[in-house]
Amino acid sequence: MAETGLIAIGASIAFAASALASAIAEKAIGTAAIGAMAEKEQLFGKGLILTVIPETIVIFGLVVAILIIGLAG
Amino acid sequence: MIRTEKMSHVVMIAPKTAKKDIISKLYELGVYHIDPYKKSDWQQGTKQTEQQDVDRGRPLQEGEQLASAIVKLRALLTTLDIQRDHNEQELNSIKIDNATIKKEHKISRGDFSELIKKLDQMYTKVLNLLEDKKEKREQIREAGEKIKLITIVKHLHLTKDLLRESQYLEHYIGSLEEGEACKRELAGISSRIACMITKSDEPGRDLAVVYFEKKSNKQQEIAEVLNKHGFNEIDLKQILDETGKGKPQHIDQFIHTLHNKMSTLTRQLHQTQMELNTIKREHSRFLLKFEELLEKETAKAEVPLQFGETQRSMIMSGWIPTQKMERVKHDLNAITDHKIHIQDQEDGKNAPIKFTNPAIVKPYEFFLHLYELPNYKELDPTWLMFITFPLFFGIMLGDVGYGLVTLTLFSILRLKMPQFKALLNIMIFSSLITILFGVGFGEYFGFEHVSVETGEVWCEKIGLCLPVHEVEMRGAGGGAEIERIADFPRLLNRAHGYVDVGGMRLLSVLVMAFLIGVVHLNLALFIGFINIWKNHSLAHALLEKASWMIIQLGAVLLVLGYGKIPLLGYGIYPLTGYIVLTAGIIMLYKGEGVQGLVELPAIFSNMLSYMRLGAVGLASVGLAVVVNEKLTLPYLEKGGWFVVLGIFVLVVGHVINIVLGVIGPFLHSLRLHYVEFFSKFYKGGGVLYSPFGQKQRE
Repeated sequence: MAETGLIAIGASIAFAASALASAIAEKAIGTAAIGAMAEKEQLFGKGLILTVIPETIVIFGLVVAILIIGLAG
Repeated sequence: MIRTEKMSHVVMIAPKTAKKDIISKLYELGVYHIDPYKKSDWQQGTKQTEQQDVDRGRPLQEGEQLASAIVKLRALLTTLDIQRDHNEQELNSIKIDNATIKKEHKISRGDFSELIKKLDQMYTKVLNLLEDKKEKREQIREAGEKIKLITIVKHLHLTKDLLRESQYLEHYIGSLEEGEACKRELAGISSRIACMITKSDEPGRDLAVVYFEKKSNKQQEIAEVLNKHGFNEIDLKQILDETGKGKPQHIDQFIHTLHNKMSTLTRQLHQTQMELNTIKREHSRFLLKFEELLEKETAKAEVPLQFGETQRSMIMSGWIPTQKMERVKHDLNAITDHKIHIQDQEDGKNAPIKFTNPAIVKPYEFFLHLYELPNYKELDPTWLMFITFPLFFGIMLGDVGYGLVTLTLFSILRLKMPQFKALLNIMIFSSLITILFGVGFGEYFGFEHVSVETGEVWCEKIGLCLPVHEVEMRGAGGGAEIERIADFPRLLNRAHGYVDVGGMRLLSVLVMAFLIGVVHLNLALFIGFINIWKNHSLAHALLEKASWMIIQLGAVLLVLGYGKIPLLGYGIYPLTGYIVLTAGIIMLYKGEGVQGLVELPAIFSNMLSYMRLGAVGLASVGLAVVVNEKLTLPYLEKGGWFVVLGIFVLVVGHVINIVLGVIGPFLHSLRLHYVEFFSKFYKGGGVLYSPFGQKQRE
């Protein structure tokens, strides 16, 4: 019982922390990308790529969270 | 379609006497992509003594005239407010080509003096009319002002005598707020102030005439009171001069004359406007067509700026698709009577690229325009994106209901917004794949199953019999209970399908995504291998690209060795794995240097990154399940008004999920291509083939 709760908390920390991390990273990159795009519109593609690179962090977080939930099973 | 169109580098030298003919022919052919002249290009390798001065070409002589005509023409289009795009459809439907307009206006080839004269006349006329319009407006405004002032005089019963400079009296005339209150306040200052208040035409303001003694020391206080009421002084002297002595009959006469003048002016203004409208109506088609014609001619007149010229000849450098080469040679020789030297060379480093994709793949070029165009030496990856982009999108969204919604939505948008046709075609195709995967995953608006009762009803009523399963439902308390449900048929259960990997219980959709990543990345390495092999050598390709594959093989062998898993019946020593892995790493170091070693872990994190194909989908399923089972169903079971609330939650929840479900998979699918896939083989940096004459015609 109590263990299930701890597992759930563990999973949510894994996900939330990685989501925050990628949000902070994307914020900085996104700002710069928009700035660059304002000067040269063709940079959209490159800006998009750079902005979504930290997205991987949250995917890993999600995968880890799912693995942790698997412990409960 | 794997390769972009084959190009020939073409250098042509011709006498300047044939300049005009050659330019016209090139424009008509519309296949010559011009490399702008650079002085340095022509001076390399020539001996200083032999070197003849090659200079930038000069525009055709009519260029200046055409340029000034086009400026006037555009000014006319703006002042007459002729909408270009508005008329575009109409113009296209009329289908008059330049030949017709030339015939209509009887102009011979290349001679626009008649048309330009006509344009000049029209320009002068319009300018005069506009000037006239402006003047009339000013006069009307002045008359209006005068009427306003004279009305004040009339209201206040003022005469010229009353406003004369006097030795003893000072006066203020103007408008202010709350006249009566002001009058009382002034009376409070001194009894020797005369104040007269009348209503004015302006709402909320009164007219006031204030008289006081010049020698009085109250001047300051009076000014303060007047300022408090927002006093605006009005100068009436000039208007009284104009009306004669300002007697009532004079004033009425004056107002009458002014009104007459105003109506005459208004009539004239209207007439001027009508004239302008007539010009617009009658000539807008001509103007728009003429603009097109002039643009074309200016382009021709200015193109020599991109050529090189010596005293007597001109030199052009550029690209033509190899298959059109013969035709171009033939045509140019014909019009110059073989006085042109054409030197062509197949392939080159900096050739512009022209896509050769079939219509169904063409929309996906959009993604390359968004990123960077491939260079001439590379394979064109558009056709790969055509296969994998919708596939990835479908795997991530993977729901029949959502697929149908997005399909409908994008089909409607495609009708409404033809300018985004390419992107919407991609989305429509992606929606179809989504439906396909939805069937495979057995998901319908996030529902994976219905209750046994509903299943029985469906079986009786519409003959749709769903198989009944028993599943373990884990409640909030953690205890498991067995429940019977009517399950939708499926190939893979996204939310609850597990597979056993080396003793770990993993969601099968994540494992599947990882495997797709392995295949996709190795495909990318393979394309990179071919690119390098073609452009450099097999050895380079082996060291730079095959080394990555060998490293992967080494890693797999290591896992098999340590896990004691036999391969094809043979046991594997971990040492074998180490040997292969080391060999791969050495090759990589030889191929890409230290940079390659630094990037070594990236290949595995890239593969893991493909797990998003499963993870994004799981998030979308999770949200849908929460909306359906945790929010909506409890409300529906309560009955009454809760049903309305339940349906509201259901609709809002799914709308949000669909919006996220389009944005998320779109970006993630794009990102997997741009970041993980392209980084293995794509160099980019190509220039789009844009031949002289093409743009104007399309």
